[in-house]
Amino acid sequence: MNKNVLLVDDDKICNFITEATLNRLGVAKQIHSALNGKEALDLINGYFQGDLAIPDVIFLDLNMPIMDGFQFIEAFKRLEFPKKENILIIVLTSSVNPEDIQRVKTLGVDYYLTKPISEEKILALLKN
Amino acid sequence: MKKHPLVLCTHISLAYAIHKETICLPSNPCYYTDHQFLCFLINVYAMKTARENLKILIIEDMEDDVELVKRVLTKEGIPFTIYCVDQRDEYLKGLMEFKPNVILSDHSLPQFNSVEALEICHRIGVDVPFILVTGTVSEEFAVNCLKNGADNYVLKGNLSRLPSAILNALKQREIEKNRKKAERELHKQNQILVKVNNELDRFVYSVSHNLRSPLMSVQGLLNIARKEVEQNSVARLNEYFDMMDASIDKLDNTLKEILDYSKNARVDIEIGSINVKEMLVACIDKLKYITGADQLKTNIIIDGSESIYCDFFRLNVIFINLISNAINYRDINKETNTLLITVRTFPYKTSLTFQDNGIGIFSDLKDKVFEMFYRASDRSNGSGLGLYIVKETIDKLEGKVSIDSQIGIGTTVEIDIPFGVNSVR
Repeated sequence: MNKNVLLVDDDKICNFITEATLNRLGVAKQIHSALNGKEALDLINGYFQGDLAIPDVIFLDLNMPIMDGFQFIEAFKRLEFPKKENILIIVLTSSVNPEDIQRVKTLGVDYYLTKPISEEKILALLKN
Repeated sequence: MKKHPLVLCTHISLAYAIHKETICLPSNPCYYTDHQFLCFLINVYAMKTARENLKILIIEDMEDDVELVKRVLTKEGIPFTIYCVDQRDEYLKGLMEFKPNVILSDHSLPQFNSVEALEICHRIGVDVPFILVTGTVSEEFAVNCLKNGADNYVLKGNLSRLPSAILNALKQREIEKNRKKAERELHKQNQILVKVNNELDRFVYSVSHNLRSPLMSVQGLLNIARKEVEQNSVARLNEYFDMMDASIDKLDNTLKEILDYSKNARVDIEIGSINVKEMLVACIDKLKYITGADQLKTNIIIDGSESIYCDFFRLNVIFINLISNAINYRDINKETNTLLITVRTFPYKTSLTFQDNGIGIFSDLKDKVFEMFYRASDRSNGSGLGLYIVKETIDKLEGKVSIDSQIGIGTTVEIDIPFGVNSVR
């Protein structure tokens, strides 16, 4: 499972935790991180300049400054590039609010993980 | 029999006092019986109404009957003006132009009747007492009139009842008016409560998120640390502890901010003498342990007296938030990070400027930074409450705050508060 992963969270410690967990599981090939939705979009645009590999999985926080997770999903849906449908977006948030869960679902993202992330949660998700 | 203490003075001055709602407590009371007191109040009410000169619209075709009404009112000492009509058009004109305080209506006239008059009254929203003054009528008819909205009915054979009927109807209308007013107030209060409740919901949602986030980080770090300890790999534990520390600090900060916010909203302003320069120096000292504080060179210029009269807690909250913002949003690409604090004191006003050369914010986000939980940058561990609290605090002090910022250049916050060198505002 050598995945290219993009982590999007304004809390650097959260990105660190996710990265450490993925590394321990040995499921990631390359891991990049962005501090908000806009930085993540810039990184994705950068992929086409050939600098980076297109991510297989995006771990996305919801509550972020500048561009939050919801706005990122909307902007991402408008992007057009080959094999976009292969990218898996996983929302990773500390929000347990049912309204947030519903909003994410309405935006067409099916994977919603609540923090703290754990090896068990990731394995269970990747198995599917 | 119950007795009521009253101020010893004439009815007229008491009536005036009641009218103006300026009754004094009796220093040398005399006592009235219940009946005397009631009579007294009725007189007061009559005088109060009389002062305004009762405007009576009479629907009547018999001149003699109008004269009888006039006589009975004059006898009771009620000053009045009469506008007499016996047709629909005149009645409408009277309602619009004469603007009566009370309508007295005969039941049946050759071209008009009381049912129609009452209906017109309701339709065009004239809200004054409507009293039927008629010859002998059946009980059924009388009840019907009251059902249709008439206030009372007085038989022409018993006109002595008329003055009290008028006064009672006026009183009832006033009570009803006050009740409706109270109802409207209640409705307004209710709407405010609903709004506040919604805000509270949003607040709780955001706060719970801000509190849960760092807690989850600590738990995540614990998960990793535990796995590594299980495998006897302890090399990075200290690194995890540091991160846990940082997360707990963040949590603690949010809690402190919520306390500041709540204290500002709940606690009254307490004015005392404050040395602004000393307070600024103390705030800078208090913040010296946060990351980057040692890189920020702060200058304080005081123009005028160092000492002002203001609220210690609130001024402190403003200073701490603005100085920590200058530290957190310093521009690491610049050789020196500076914060220039200028204070100008006046007799009843103090102007403060906090000018830094930090990273700045986009000018279109300028007004949003004062919103609750708004974060314009991911550079800090901020909860998005800092500038909101600054704004709320300055609002409480009835001051003004504005922000000017340019990306890459820096941010300037300007504050005016109506507190200065003199102690009385």
